[in-house]
Amino acid sequence: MAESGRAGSIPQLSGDRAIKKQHKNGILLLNEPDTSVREALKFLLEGEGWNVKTVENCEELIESVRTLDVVAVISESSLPDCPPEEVLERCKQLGAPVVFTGHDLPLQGAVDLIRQGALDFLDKPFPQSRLLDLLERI
Amino acid sequence: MSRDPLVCIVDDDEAIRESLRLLLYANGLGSQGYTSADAFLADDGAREFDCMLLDIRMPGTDGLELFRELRRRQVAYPVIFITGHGDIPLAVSAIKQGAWDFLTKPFREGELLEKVSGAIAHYRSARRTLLQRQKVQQRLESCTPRERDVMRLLAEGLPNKGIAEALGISPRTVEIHRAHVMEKMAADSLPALVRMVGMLGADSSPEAAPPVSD
Repeated sequence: MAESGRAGSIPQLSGDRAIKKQHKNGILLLNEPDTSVREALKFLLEGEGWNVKTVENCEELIESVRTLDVVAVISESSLPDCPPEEVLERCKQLGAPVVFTGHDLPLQGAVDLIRQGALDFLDKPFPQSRLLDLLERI
Repeated sequence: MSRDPLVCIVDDDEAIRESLRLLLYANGLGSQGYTSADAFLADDGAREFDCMLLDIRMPGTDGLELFRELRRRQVAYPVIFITGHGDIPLAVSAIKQGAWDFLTKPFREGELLEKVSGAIAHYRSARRTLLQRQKVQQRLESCTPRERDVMRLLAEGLPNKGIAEALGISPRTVEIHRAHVMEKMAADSLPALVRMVGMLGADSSPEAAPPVSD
């Protein structure tokens, strides 16, 4: 039976999706400073057939969007040296959809990001299925 | 839009409704309050609003349900939710479904006014554009297919001779069509005509005109 874990715990592949696992084109960029969350998300996404590139900082994120075939960006929004508004603006210019994750952002911040065109905002901890469903629909 | 701006308030808390009403009134904005979603829906003659302030948690039909009903009815004015909780997934979901913005209680008066007046300004501007486009669309439909061909080529910058060649008709015929087009479209200059064609989208035929949305 499918078990949806919370980001940060050991993820389980859902039964349905295991069948559809295939090599997907393009790259997901992951900007997540918390090591255990990052590893868990990477494991989850790669298990679903995604190519995942993790980035260390904002510059690397933007550079990667510029130079690589990026399907979507998953970025933590509560990073002081990586303001989500700027990430969103640059990614919009470059045509890359952005999903923000957050653990400290006030409600208005999340609302504003969506209004400005972010694909979604996932308040941590979030069910993995939500992220996976979202990415399937891009 | 000539009538004064009108804000709709749907909130079961009378104290909140009243304080919102007074605050809006003090800033030149009229409002109409409803005690519940059902009361609002029952008011068939609900006047035209420019904006709605909607409490997200109400007994009976809650704010989100009402919002979904409004979307179903293709209500176009912006809806600003009022919430007491910092429920991020709920807020994100509402915005993704098309809500305009959120206010969390206790809200600063300045913030409320800013959001409401911003929403109203946006809505009015969008309405103006929509009505203009509808007017242009109507004028377009009064043109014959050949007139539309001429109009499209005019908007692309072709001279009469070029249009005549492209369509396989005489320049004199093009002139006649051109005169009709300018009159039917109520365009007093070529740039004005180009702007109108631009409003309708790349193809000037009615079938290809973009769907009008809020």
